[in-house]
Amino acid sequence: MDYGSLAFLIPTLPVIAFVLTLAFGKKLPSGGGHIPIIAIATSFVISVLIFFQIGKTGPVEQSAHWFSVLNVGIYIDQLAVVMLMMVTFVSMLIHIYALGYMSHDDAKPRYFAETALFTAAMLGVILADNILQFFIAWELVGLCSYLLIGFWYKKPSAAAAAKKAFLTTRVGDVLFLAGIVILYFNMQKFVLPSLGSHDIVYLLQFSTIFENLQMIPTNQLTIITLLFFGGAVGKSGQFPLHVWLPDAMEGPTTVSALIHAATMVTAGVYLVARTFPMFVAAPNSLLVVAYVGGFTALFASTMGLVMNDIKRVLAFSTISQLGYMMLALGMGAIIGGEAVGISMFHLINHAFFKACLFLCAGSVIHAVGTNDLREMGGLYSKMKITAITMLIASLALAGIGLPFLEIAGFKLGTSGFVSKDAIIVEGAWSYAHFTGDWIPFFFGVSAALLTSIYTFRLWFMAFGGKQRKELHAHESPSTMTVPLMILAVLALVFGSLTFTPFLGFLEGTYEEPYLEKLGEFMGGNEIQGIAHNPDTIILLLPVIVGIFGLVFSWAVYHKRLFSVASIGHMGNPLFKILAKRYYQHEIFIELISLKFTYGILARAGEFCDRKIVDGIIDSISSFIVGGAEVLKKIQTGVVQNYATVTIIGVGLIALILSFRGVV
Amino acid sequence: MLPVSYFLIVSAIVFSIGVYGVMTLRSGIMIMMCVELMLNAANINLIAFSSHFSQVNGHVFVLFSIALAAAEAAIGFAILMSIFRSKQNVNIDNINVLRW
Amino acid sequence: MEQLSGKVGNMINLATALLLIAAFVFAITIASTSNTWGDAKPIDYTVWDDGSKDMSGIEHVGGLLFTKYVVPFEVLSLILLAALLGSIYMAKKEEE
Repeated sequence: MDYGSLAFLIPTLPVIAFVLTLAFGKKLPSGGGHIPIIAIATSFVISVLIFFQIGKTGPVEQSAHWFSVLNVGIYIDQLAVVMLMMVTFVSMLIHIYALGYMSHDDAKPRYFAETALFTAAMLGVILADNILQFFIAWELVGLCSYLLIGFWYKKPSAAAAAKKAFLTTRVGDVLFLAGIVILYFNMQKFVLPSLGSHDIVYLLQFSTIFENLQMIPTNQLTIITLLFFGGAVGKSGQFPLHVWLPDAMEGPTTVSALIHAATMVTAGVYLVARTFPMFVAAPNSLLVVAYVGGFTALFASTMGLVMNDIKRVLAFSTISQLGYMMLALGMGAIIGGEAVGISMFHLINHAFFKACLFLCAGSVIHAVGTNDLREMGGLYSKMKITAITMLIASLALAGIGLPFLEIAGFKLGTSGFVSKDAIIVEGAWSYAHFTGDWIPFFFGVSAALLTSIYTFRLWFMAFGGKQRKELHAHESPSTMTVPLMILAVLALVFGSLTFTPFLGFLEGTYEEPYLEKLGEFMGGNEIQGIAHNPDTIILLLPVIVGIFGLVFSWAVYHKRLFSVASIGHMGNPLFKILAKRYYQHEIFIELISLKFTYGILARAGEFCDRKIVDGIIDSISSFIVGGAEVLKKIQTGVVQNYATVTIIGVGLIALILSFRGVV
Repeated sequence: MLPVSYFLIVSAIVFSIGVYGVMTLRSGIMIMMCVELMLNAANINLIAFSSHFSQVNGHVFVLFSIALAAAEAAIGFAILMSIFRSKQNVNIDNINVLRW
Repeated sequence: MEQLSGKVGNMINLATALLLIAAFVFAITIASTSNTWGDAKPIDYTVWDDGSKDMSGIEHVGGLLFTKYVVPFEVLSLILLAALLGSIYMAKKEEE
């Protein structure tokens, strides 16, 4: 049976779940939470069936005409189907977890409805067949993020965080839309004339774009792809639009797990992966992607070191890992289509272990009642399942594993180890090997070091040592612990088990159809492929930094061998810069928006409008009124004046007539 | 006969005296007299021309003009009497209520 | 004749008046229809009856006034009547 014909159900079922939950949720037990779970589980099953089908028959392509040169359609290739499976699976697990986590909340129907709508929108993004449909679903995802971050809208900090998230991603969305418009005009100018008029051509469809890339000039492509990357920067929280992610932790923890770990923030990475042939055809923008991603990875991990809120540490960790994914994609200028495979591999593993970390954090917060790390400690004995799953996920995040051994072709290590190793060695090191540019490698390794340090700092401060405060901690119910265990198992083994087949599967997305065709076109840029036989030290470096971070945090935060309090207080300027997040709040809000935009631009505009434009109008009217004030003095009321004027008039007429002649 | 221009000059002088009086005099009665002067000047003009061309039409017109001047004077003085009753003088300068 | 008063007196007055009027009208009728008055001929007011042409201007004016301009003349009389009434009304002393 052709499961591709069921593809339209994948986003539609969660939409129906949204409507049903919103309408009937109050009357159903547990706020109608079961409806989205059933819908998303069905979508997951359909995705798996399509996955097996794609291996045999190729991508699922369906499209319907919309208007003029635009269409609506579904395009599921290898890239999309792995993303679909991940999103539906993680979303399903988090919904099950939320049944337990949100059980005390009154607004459950609204929560489940909004997460169902969010899942539907995200699925719409993944299987969009043209870039305009992609953008529409992208906007919908942003809206759901706003709704969910501000879920507890009565809290002013939550409302402010939701607004900040929406506005910051909006900046990215504007750039994205500008890119789409420029792309449209370029397609219309360069591609449409050469395609003939026998069929309707859909200008913004991905297949149309990728097949005709060589007709668009490279500088236009660079602009377009940079603008697309701007949209990805906003949505995926890269520097400088990352400011919304830490504040977005105001939402419930399950929202943070779903949206800001696994799903929405990866939409930006998916955008770059989806339009990867365009980026390959404009290699300079891939370089920008790599540098921005690498810099963000390092930048965010420096800030994650000093946070005291458990969720904020994880938020900065997310930003950092997204930077890794962008870095991996950026390596595609040298590596080719495999960069997509490496980046998506890290994306999926990250979804598993980061969602697991967030859910464990939620479990801890649920049990302990506070977010602050300084008040936790010694929870290991009370919450064994949470502690162990969190330890597994932390090992995955830090990338701990054994580098040189393999059992039956499978690497030994957590999935984070496999994917981060792939990025650093096969990505950044190949890049450095062929171009001599070691900066991405440096970004990758130093960010790995800091990642390891703060990850284990988190774990040891929460679970190790002695209890700092008297807290009544208890293990969470099974609806919450079972998803944790499933995600932890996946975080442990998924990477090593599926590394080679995954990369091979994803390679088919772009290599044969588009990138080989593009090969002759790309000017001076040569795709080299992955470099082989790296030096031993290169292979060892990620593991060394990972283990160093583990030992360091164990020594400082568990055994208290030496204290970092001497450098970890606000008097130390370096600490202060990090704790104040590099003064970004001051720069963005105080300086740029208040002083510059409001103080200078808005005031100048208001001055022009009020004084100059209104001034012209007012001066015209006051001129006329003033003239009237002067002219009305003619009516003196004295009859002799009127007689005088009359006689003067008659005299003038007589004079003129006498000179001119009466006729 | 005297040339016509003599009569016309006399008529112009009388008319000018009347105009000057209307423009500058303060008292209402004086203004009425000057209006009569102007009418009279016009009559002189008419008689002069009708005599010059030996026609009687101008004379008839003058008859009507004199009758009308009398009627207008009567009404004018009646108005002046009303003004005098309310203001106790006929000083035209002060009657300027209908101003801006 | 002594004054007669009362209704009988009025009746006698009325009868006397009517009798006199009737007699007067009768006499005029007999007198005017029994003579011949002569032929009518148009008046040329630029010459005297005896044919001499020495007419002064005022006679010319009078002639024109009653032949060619008689309608404005009558209208002028109406105007003078209106002016009379208006000025008398306006100059009248207010009754307390």
